[in-house]
Amino acid sequence: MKQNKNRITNKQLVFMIIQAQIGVGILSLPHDVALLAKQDGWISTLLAGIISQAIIFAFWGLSRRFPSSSLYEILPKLLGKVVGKVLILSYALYFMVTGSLVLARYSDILDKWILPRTPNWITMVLILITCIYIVNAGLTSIARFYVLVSPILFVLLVLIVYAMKDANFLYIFPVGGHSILTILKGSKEAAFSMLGFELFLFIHPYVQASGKEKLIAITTANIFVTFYYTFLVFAALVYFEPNIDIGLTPEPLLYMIKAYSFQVLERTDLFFLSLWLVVVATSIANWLFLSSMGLASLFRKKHYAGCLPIVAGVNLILALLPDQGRDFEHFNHFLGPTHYIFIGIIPILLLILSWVFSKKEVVNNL
Amino acid sequence: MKSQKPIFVLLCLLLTGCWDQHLLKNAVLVQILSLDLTDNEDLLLGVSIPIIEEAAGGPQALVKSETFSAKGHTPRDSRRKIDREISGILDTSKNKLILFGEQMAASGIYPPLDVIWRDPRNSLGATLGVVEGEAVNLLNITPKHETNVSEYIQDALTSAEENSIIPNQTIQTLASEMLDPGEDIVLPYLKINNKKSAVVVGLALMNEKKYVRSISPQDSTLLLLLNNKKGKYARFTKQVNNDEEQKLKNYITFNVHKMKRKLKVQVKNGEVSVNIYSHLKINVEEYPKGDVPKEIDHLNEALSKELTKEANQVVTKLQQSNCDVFGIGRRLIALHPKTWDMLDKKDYFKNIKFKTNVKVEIIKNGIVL
Repeated sequence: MKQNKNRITNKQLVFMIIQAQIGVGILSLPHDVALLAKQDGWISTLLAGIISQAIIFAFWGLSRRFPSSSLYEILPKLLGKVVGKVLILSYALYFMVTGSLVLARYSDILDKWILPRTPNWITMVLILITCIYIVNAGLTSIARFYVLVSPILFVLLVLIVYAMKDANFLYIFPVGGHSILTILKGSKEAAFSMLGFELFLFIHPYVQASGKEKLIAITTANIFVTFYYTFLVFAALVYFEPNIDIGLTPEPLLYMIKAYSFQVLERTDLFFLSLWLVVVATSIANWLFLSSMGLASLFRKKHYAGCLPIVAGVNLILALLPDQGRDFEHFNHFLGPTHYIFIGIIPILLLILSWVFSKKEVVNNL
Repeated sequence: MKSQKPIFVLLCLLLTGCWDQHLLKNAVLVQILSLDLTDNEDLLLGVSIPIIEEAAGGPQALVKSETFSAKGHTPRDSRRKIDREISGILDTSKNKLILFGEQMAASGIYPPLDVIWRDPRNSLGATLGVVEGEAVNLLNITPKHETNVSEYIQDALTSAEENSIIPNQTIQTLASEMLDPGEDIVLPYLKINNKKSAVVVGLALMNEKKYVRSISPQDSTLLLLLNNKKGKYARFTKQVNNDEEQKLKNYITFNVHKMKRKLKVQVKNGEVSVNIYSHLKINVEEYPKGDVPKEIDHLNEALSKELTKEANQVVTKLQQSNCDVFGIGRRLIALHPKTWDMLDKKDYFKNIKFKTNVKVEIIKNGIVL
């Protein structure tokens, strides 16, 4: 734990969490949410942010009890070696599968929107190489890269704001026209897009800050992402007719800006997509990082770099499996419950266990 | 760092992107599409493509245009047939306008547009229009001063847009309005003038994606004003006197300089009433009788009365066509959802009680009195 070169600052933590949370889902989020919650989709998104925040508190509680161990080290400590190892492996696999889904959706969108004739494996290999390169450089470099590319989020926002000049704000009414239950169902969809904050559980020992500062950092990130998403969903809801039109457009945000051309720029969606690529790369890198860390700790390797090609290879193969929209649904159906288990239930159970057995680290004067 | 050579080789191979190149030299850019329904319910697609001719003397190339058309089951089917006929690949990514023949428009404009939304390469910035008779005929006109038909029609539409005869809209903005059960659209209505020129002759009123009737340019401008969609200019010529010997002295021409519109929807016992109030601040451009300030009260009153009367007529025409341009239905969905649930979703617009008022105020009269 004393590798000084792998430390990150608290501010970098904020950006890392933001970049990990905002990923491939950003384009389809308004569609997914609006399918269920219609014009109240933006409320669902806000609620999803609140749910994430609750889980974040649990994560933080866990990190307080084990300030210098990542989840991969906490697991064997709390549950014993065998169970711990099994869970580490499951986590590594879970991150691999999630990463593959992201990869598959990324290449699916590229395939649909820009490169219909380029073989999908090429776009996947290209982004995987980039991600391996980023992750290989170590945590500090990853963090720096994430900070560096964060301004892109504002460029995306500006493009969307521009498109809102043709919005019809009446589409948002009646506010709260749907029952709480429907809105919560929408939140479920939105919550999947907010995943990524679990990164905190794995990198918190490397952050140079007190526990309270870390909480503030991760909360800031979550609030930012929640409002960012809520705004995007809102923008799409006032732009598209929320009952039929938005249901017909799986990537509403791209569609919104597709119609606009500027003096020197036509097909603004292509421009948007190339910026979005970077955002996706950061989230793929994130899952690559987490699962190879898992594998490394499983095989007691000092550095995770050796596992990167293996993980990337598995990602590539898994991502090549689905080749139509239906498969994504199956994929998602399968992943839905596992998200709850790995992100919600296990960390919270661990927290409870650590209270019950009053297990915590004794030495933590780093 | 180990050897970087393999990476470079890989990048060279992978980053070239040869699969998805569209070379401009092979592309034939379509600027206008026309869609017609033929007698046996087949679809007739017409495209106008520019042909660039090297000018003999000058440096400027002359752009002419040629029209191709083919029948088919769907727009794509017809397009494939045209594609076989011309050298090069038809490319609609720069398309600016899609014209519907009257019959096609009356049978519904949404289904043939499907391909425009489905194919990512298509331009959503294009606009739509309805043509009297067959739309493909409009592509075959030979205007004298402009050899490129598509350029010519687009210029006509742009100028109509500036003069508030047609609204500024694209396929993208129309999509939501078309799909909205509580709103209908209006499209530019064009006509062919003795095979030589095209004129924008007002707006085509649509009822749920289907063409119903057209209204005159004067009515169109008034409609756009009532709908708060004024373009750059909105000019009217109206009769304000009737006792002058020289006839033209009876008329006044003005441009709407600024306007304010209020639209109120009220619901009482399930009955919907709408109040539209427009306040136009106008700029007198021509008044042959002279001395506007002296008669200002009379003019304000006469014009208010006249425009109110005409506005009511426009609204009646809308109601007869069941064309809810104002989006009253959307307002009901948004603000009175319970009332909307009880209403007949198809014919609700006909049963709305409208009260339309236009108030005219002269604020400028040029550089003479």
